[in-house]
Amino acid sequence: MQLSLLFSFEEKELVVPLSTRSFLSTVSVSPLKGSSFSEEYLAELRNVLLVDINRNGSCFVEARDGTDFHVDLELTGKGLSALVELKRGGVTKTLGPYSLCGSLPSDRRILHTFHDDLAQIITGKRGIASTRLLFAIQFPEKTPQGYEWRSEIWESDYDGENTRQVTQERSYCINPVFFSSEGEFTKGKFMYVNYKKGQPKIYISSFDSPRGNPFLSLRGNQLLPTLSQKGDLIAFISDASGRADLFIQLFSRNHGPVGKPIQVFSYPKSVQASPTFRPDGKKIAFVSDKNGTPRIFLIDTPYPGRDVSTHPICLTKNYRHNTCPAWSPDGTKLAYSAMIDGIRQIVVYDFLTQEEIPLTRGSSHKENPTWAPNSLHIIYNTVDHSSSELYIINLKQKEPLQITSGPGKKHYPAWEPTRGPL
Amino acid sequence: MKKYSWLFAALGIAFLTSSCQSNSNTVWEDTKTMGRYLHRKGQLLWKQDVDSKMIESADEFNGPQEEEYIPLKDEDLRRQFADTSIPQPKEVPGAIGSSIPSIDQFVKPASHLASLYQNLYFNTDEHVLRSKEYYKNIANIAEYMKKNNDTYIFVSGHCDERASEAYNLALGTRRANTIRNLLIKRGVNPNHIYTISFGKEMPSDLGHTQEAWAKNRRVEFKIFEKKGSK
Repeated sequence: MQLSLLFSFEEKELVVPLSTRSFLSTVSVSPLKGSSFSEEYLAELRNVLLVDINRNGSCFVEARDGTDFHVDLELTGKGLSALVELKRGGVTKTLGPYSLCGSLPSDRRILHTFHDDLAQIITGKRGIASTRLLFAIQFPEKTPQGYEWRSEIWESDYDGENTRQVTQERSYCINPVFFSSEGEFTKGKFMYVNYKKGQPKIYISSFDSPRGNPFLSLRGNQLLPTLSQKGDLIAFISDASGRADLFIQLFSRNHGPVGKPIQVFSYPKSVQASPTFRPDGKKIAFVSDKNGTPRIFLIDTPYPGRDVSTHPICLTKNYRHNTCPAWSPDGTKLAYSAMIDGIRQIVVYDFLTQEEIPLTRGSSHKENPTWAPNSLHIIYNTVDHSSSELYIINLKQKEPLQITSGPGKKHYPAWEPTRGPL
Repeated sequence: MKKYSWLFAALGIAFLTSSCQSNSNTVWEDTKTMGRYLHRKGQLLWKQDVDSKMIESADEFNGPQEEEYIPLKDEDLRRQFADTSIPQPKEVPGAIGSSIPSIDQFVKPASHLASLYQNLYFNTDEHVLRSKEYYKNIANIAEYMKKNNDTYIFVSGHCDERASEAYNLALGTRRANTIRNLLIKRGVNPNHIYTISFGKEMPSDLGHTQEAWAKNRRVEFKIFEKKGSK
C-alpha cells in the first residue's frame, strides 16, 4: 500500500497522521551511553523507553536501518536529550534535556515523560506513560479469631512500577477515583470507598495522608463512585432509600459537594450499579438488572431546566451479564465486562458503529476496565481462583500485558485523567 | 389481568423455548428478561407511564429542605410497591455525635444468640429467601429484637464469586435490605437495623464449587446491645 505521510512543522511539531496507515510506525533507538551512570543502569533506563514505545499503540521499536523514525539518545552529564529524525524526509527535532538523578524510580518517571514528549512528536498526540494508576489490593490479615479481609489503596506508574500504598486505614478500601480537576478541595487528593465505620462511605484523602474522611452526607451504603470529566458531578450507588439506586451529587473542586444528593434512577426488584458519565456529563451509563440479566443502560443526567428522560435506554444487547461500564474520555466508546462463553471478557461498545466488539479472550475473568486519557489504552483486572492482577491492553495491540504481580488481589484500577487539553 | 401479564408472557416464552438446545439457565434468563420487558410494555400500553418530565425550577431541583436527598418523582415508584423500599436509619454508626458506635463495637452473636442470628442463604443472583425455615428465623429475630429494645444489628449482604465485583456490591445491598424489610414488616424498629454490602469481597468459603458458592450467597448478622455497652 502506498503510504502518504503528511509531514509538517505546524506549531513547531512534526505531525504524522496515522489514519491512512493500517499498521504502526517503526522507530529505531540508539544506545544510551554516558559516564555519569553505569552501563547496566543506562541499559535499564533505555529499556523503559523501549517498552513505552512498544506499548503506546502508535509505533514499535525495530533494530534495523530504514525505520520510519530514528531517535538518537544523548547523555551529557546527567542531562538526557535526543535528536528525533523522520528518516524519509530528513526532518529532525530535538528533545530535552531531561535531568536524570540516578534513582531508578525517579528516572523511570523521567523516561516516561520523555516518551510522552516523543510520542507528541511522532504521532501528534502526547503519550500516556507518565500518567499514574490507583487500585485496591485485598489481603487477609491474621487476627486472634482467624483472619480478616483488608483492602487498601495503592498507586503506581501506568506500567505497574513504583507502587506505593496511599491509604493505611486498616479497613476495607476499594473503588479509588482520581479527581479530574484540581481546586482547593481536591488538590492532591483522591476519593475511594471505605468500610471503616461499617457501612461503605465515599471518602476523600490526600496522597500524602494515610487516612481520609467521608464527605457525602447520606445515610446507607455509598458505593461505586465516579466523577464527570469536568469534575462537577459525582455519580454513585446508594441504598439510602432502601434500594440499590443511582444517585448524583453536584460537586465543586473548590468547595466539595454542592447541595443534596439527587436520586436519579430506582426500579423495584432490581439492582443498579457502576455508573459512568459521558464526557460532556449529560448522560450516565450504568448497570441495571431491571429487565433480567444485568445490562448497560443510558439515562439523562438531571439538571435544572433540562428536559430529561426518566426511562433509561438499554444499550448493550449482544452478550449476557454486562457490568462495569467505563466511558472513554473521547466519548466514542464504552468498555464493559460481559459474559462470553462462560467467561467475563472486556467488550468495547462503539457509539459510531453501534457494534459490541470483544477486546479480550482467554480463560480468566476480566473486570473493571478503566480508560487511559488517550481513549486507546485500557487497564482491567483479572479474577482467577489463585490471583487477581492488572493488565494493560490497547485497541490496536490486543495482546494484554500483565503489569502487577506479588501477593494480594489487585482490583478496581483507576487511570489518572489528563488535566487540561491532551 | 395486567398484574399477570408478565406471567403469561413468561410461560409463553418458556413453552416456545422448551425445544431449544439451550441449557436451563439460559432459558430462565431469557424468560425473566422477556417477561419483565413485556410487563413493562403492557404498562406503557395502559398509559401508566410517562416518558419524560421537565424539571421546572431550581426549587423542584433542590427538593424539600427537610429531605436528606432529592427523591425521584417517578410514577413507577409510587405504583409498584410490592417491593417496599424503607429508607435507611438517618443516624450513621460511628459518625461524630452518633449514639450508635461503628461496626467495631458490633459483635458476632455468641452463645444462645448464635442459633437465633444464623446466616441466611440465597439462590444464585436472587435476593428472595427460598426456605420456609429462614422466614421462621426472621420471625424469631424480630420477636427477640422487639423484646430487647436496646439491640441494634448490622445485616451484611454477601455474594458468590461468579458475577463481577462491582455488580455484586450492589446485589449485596439488595440482599441485606430484603432481610431488613422483612424484619421491619414484623415490627422491628427500622432505626435499629443497618445494612452493609460486601459483594463478593469477603467469602466465607474460599472454594470454587457449587457448595462453596452456596455458602457465600448469604447475609450475616452482627449485634450491639446498647444497655451492655460501657
